[in-house]
Amino acid sequence: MKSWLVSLAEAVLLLFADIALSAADADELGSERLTGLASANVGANLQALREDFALATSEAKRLAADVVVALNDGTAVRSVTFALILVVVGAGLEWLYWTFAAAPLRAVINRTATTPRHAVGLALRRLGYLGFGVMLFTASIVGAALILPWPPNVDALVITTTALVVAVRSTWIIADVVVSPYHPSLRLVAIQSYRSTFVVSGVAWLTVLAATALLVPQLLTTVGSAPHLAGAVRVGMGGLVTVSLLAAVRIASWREDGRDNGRRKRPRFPKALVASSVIVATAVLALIGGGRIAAMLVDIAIVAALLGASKRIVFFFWRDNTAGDEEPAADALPDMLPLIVLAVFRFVTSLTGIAGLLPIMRVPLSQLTSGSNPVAQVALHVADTVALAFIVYLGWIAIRFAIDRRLRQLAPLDPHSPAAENTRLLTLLPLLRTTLAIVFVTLFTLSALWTLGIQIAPLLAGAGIFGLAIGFGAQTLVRDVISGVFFLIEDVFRIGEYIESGTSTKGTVEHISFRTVALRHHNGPLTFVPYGLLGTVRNDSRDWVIDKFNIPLPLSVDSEKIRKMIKGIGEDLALDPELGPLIREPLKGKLYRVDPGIKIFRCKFMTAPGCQFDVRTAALKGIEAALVEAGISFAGAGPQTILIRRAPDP
Amino acid sequence: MSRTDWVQLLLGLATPPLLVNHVVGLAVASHLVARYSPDYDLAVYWKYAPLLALQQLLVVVIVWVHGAIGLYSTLVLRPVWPRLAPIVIPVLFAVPILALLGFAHAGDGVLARLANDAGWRALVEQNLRVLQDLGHRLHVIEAGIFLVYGGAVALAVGIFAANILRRRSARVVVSYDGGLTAVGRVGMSVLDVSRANHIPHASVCGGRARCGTCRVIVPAAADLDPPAEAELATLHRVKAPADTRLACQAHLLGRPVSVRRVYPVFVDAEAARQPDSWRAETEPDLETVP
Repeated sequence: MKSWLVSLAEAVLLLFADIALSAADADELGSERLTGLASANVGANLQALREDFALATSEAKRLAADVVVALNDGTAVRSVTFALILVVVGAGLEWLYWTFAAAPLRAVINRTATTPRHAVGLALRRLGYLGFGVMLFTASIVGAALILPWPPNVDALVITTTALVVAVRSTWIIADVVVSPYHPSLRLVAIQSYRSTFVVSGVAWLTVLAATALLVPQLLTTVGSAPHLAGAVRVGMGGLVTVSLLAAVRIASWREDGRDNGRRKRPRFPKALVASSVIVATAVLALIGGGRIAAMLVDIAIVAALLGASKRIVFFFWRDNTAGDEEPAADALPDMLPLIVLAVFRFVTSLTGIAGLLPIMRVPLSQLTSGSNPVAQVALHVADTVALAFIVYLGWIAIRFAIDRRLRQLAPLDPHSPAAENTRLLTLLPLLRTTLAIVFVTLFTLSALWTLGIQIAPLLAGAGIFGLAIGFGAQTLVRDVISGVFFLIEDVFRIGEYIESGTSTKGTVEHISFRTVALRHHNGPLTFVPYGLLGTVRNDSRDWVIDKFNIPLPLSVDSEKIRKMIKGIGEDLALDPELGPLIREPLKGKLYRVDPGIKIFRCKFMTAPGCQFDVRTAALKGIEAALVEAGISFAGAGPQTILIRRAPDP
Repeated sequence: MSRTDWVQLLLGLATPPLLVNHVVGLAVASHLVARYSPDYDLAVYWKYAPLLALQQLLVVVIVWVHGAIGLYSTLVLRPVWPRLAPIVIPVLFAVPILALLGFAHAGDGVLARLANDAGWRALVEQNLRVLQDLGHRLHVIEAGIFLVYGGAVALAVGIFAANILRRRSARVVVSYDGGLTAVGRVGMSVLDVSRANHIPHASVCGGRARCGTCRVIVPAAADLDPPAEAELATLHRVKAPADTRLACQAHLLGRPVSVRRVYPVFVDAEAARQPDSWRAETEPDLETVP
């Protein structure tokens, strides 16, 4: 539904990846638990875990005794004194900074973003203000800590604590800026207000847990030399992280379900289930010693989640243009920036994911360049393919947007509107677009196969033979396509033109594809005619048309007067604001034949194609009005019949 | 109450219990016993009772932070603050840091003297024995102090909580400029309502009727409690027109109230120091939350 679940998951999974990685690190640092990906010895790992828990208590007791000793010889008092100095310096300097920065920050926070992109700018400014505060805090604490003469081993403790505080504060700030509780217009993710505070506190809580799981065991191992206690702490905190993540997923999906019940029934991808499975699998793997596999799993899961949500994440920032979160329709794209950003986002995500796999797999840099490591090779090939896809996609959207923009400049794509300029482009550009799409996909597929090391020469040869077979079996098809190409090259018809082919098939060209042309008959039916069957084409929509019609009048009328009258009407029509521009040669009439009892006047005019009907209607209307005004009636049918009988042909 | 207020309140409440040990151990004991000479407390802190040392260190910092917050928030509203700041702020930082450094330095001396000066060590230990003999009486005194103090705090908290509970159901709607509305309870100030509902509302002094930046324009017949002396003085000082109230002092009485904020939320202490500099904006551009 909303991308918030994904955004939460991505934030916390990143933390989780860190823990998994650190578990992998610790595995290699601490013991011989994990010698390689393939030789993960589950039994030994579980044994080591059991030892951790068995020995943790005694190690904790020893540490407590150390602390008591430190208290009595003045070390602890001195350390706490110095730590308080650090707090005074760090917190004080940051407080001083905030006495100046609080007002500008409030000004930014209380602005209303007009667009999501504007919100990005505001978020960066907020991040700047808040981040500088944390930086000042960190820098002053580190600076002061460097000056003070710490008792031995305490400096490591101070560094760890500072790192923990800074990590938690940084994540908190970022989550707060991204989610912006209480300021919906500044939000950078699609998330409801009532969830925003929940997300911020959840992220902060998970950071506390993750940072503890990451930093404290390290401290215990190096300074306290209590590796087993460290292992126990790691397992405990990892368990807490897992439980918290599962709870977050559960709460998120529960609320989501509650909202959607009865509103939407169509089946959806079971995000919550998959997320929970990934979390549990990662935890179990990390526990039994498959730290690297767990990290890989997390890496892949994050990339997959990000790729899955990429469209929502990116289009969120152009929400104002497209009304809603849906992807804009193909013929109504506002600009190509969102699509390019989407492509870049996906590309960067994929490459980062692949790059993240390399340290997890512990590929040495030398093997990476020489390509001797199979894992690295696969990763590089995949990266190549992703890069290729990126370039092809960029090229494709560039061309597609050039074509689409040109099309939109030309005319709205409505075949039944009055003839516009450049109909040939309107006809050919969509065809070109389709052709290019096929070419791009084919080229990309072949290149990707080639990059992945699959021989494509036999494939091409096979395709040739295959194509030949199809060609024999589908001669008509080939004929249609070839004739289509020539029809288009010779510019026989374009979209929007009224053509007649043979005797029965006629209509306005609505759509042109590779094999057929779709003709809309003026009564409605749409006829699909293969090019091969078109044969002679009579195009009624080219250059001009001449229309003629007869007017029967009584013998008594003055022919010259009628001629002038019709000419006058023609001149009036030519001056008409609507019809005038369509008329190429104005209406003229002359005595055409004299039959017994009737003078037949023939009228003629030339117009743009397809406009003759309107002009004729207007002309007849004008003529009739003029005749009525002059007191002349059309030659009736009754008397003439009698006259013809009285004077038969000799 | 703002975040700073909470910090200050909690720090203030924490100070007496943390300090009781020190006072009882030194002042009361020397009052009770004639031959008790309490000039050895550094030795006690560094050698014999390190946990007490940690406690007193904490008290030093807590008291200082509490005082610094109060001093700063009073001084920053004064027109002399820009000239005072370069002197006061370094002092605010220097005092606790130098005190802590001095404590650490003195600790070295004390530990060295304890190790080298056997006579002094004997004196200290003798005094400690005296204290140990007094132990029971001191504990009783301490317990009594804790009991009284705890009772007072519990009483205050209880009254506070009871007030909140009592007024919980009496809801009052406050409408702001920009079409915002918020729901508060009887007895809350307008500023409290703004804070509880995340409505941007300037307040430099944090609701102490000192700065005048939280002031709002209210209709004459608004259902608010009448202004007190402090509020009137501040309003007079910032030359506020007659139809204004300080939002931090205007408490809701029951009927809905409509207010217009005067200052934008990002106003700083400058507006309190120099009310004239902000008066040009008669119709301030208050951005609203959608």
